Amino acid sequence: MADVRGGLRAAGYLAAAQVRSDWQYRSAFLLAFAVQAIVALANVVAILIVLELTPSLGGWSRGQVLLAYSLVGLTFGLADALFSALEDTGEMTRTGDMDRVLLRPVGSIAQIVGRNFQLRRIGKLVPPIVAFVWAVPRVDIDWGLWTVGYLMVTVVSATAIFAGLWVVSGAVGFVAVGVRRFSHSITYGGQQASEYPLHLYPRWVRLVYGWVVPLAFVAYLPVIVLTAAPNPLGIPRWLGYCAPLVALALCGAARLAWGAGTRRYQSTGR
Amino acid sequence: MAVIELEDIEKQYVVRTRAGLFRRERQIVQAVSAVNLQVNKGEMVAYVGPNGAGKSSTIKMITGILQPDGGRIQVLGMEPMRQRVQLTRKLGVVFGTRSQLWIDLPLQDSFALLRHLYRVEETRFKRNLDELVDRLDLSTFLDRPVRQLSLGQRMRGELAAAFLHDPDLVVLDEPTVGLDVVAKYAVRSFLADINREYGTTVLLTTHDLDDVEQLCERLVIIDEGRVVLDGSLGDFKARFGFERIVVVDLEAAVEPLEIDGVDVVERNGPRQHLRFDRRERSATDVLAAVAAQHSIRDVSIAEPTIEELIHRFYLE
Ligand SMILES: Nc1ncnc2c1ncn2[C@@H]1O[C@H](COP(=O)(O)OP(=O)(O)OP(=O)(O)O)[C@@H](O)[C@H]1O
Ligand SMILES: [Mg+2]
Repeated sequence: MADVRGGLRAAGYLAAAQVRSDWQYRSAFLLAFAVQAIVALANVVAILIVLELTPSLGGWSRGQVLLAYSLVGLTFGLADALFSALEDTGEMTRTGDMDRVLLRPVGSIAQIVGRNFQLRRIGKLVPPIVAFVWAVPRVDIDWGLWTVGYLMVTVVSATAIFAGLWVVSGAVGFVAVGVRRFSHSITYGGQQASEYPLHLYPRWVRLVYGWVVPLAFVAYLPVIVLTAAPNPLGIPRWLGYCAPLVALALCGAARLAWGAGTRRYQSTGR
Repeated sequence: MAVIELEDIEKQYVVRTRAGLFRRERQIVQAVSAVNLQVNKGEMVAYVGPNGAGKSSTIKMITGILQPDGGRIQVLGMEPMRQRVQLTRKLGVVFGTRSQLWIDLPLQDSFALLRHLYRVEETRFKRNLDELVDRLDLSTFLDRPVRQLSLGQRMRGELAAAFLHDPDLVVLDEPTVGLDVVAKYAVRSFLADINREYGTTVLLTTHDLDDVEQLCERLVIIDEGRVVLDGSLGDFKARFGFERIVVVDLEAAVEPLEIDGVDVVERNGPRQHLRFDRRERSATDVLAAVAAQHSIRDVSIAEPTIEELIHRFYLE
């Protein structure tokens, strides 16, 4: 536990240093910031249009569809803001910058995350929050301690699932340097695939993005459990309570993958 | 107590080379073969060898960056890759060709960050930093971004960064590369002082044999991944340092001189480099023989550099 805290603290200091470094190039920094603000604004406009146009899909009401969308967006956005820096693993392997990370007495994931931290990624959280606020009054949830607890556990587990995916795709970067696209097909691809109800997809997509990459647990099953949404695939309801276990298993596997990647790191000849 | 223990360490790299438009060939480069090395507490060891010999690869295994492919490795009683976090807390590392500092931040900010990463408590950090600033004469550029520092200034900064957390072992890969005489002197005397005063164990690689001569009692030579010599510089010189070179400038360019027991190793117009074994002939003896054939304008006697000796050692 002290380990995790130390890692968090170190990541914080590194992130602050990153921001200060960026601040050295003030105009670029401010420009990027302005661009991000515009993008965030455009996102809000876009989500308002989506809210208007979302139909009911495959038996799911607009509220249910948007609740699933917002859960995916929120949890993916959190994991993305914190962990997507790991996509630089391949680049850091290619340039040998990983040497520096491995020479310091702090966990390597914490260092990379801190070192490549970008505040602007938080902007992605705006649309899902808007969608969530819009969707909640339009679905039939029996609000109580239990449902609020379930929702919170779901958000934490789903964020952990996405974080695990980022770690796995980062670990691949130690070995195969040019895999950014492949990694993105897992992470961003997973996000996009899980924005719509799973039963709308052909079988192979359901298999890949529902269960192999276990994204059914992120939003699809929770919406079924919470709002009694139609379940045409006949998935057992108890699976809807397994998100924490799946998250734990995935994070454990991700940790192993990261270790295996580190041991295969070859550095550079310089 | 052994600070570094390598037993039959191996390292291979898998290299893929282009062999046609789509075909790529897998090639194994054996960078380090069966290296044995033991460095004890307080020692200062030079790890020397030609380009591509495997020096950096060895250092990266010692510091936990690379996993060896075979053999046993213990550093400060730990297994570098498995106990990376614990080990690096007690390790100082300098790579001459790669900065450990934050290039866009003032030097002192890098130090402050390292303090947090290594969890050095405030008072100890202050004391160490003051001492390092003083020894390495950093005060004039502490507040300048690292990218604006000259190579010599940056290297002094790198050294300070490696010593901030009172490491038990410091490993330096070509710390004097590209430095001028003054900066080299600063680096050397700093390392010598620290080693003497604190008993910090030091392992360094270099291509500058003055570093070895001035710093290290012990010399380990590696070539093509194998340790070919492990001994004192004195031993090494006694074994190989018996050659002498006399450089004579004659009145005119002539054919290579023919004198018993003397080889002409280089000829450049009227200047000839004569090599002989000082156990067999004396310099005056050789010069007398030359003077008997031609008139001499100028003479100088050169002791071969250690680099030449090592080079010849490689060739044997
Ligand atoms: N990351 C790597 N990938 C592939 N081959 C490598 C890598 N690093 C080193 N090599 C190869 O391994 C061998 C040893 O390299 P190493 O860098 O250890 O040598 P060195 O003694 O440090 O040389 P130099 O004096 O030039 O720094 C060389 O043949 C080199 O080409
Ligand atoms: Mg090298």
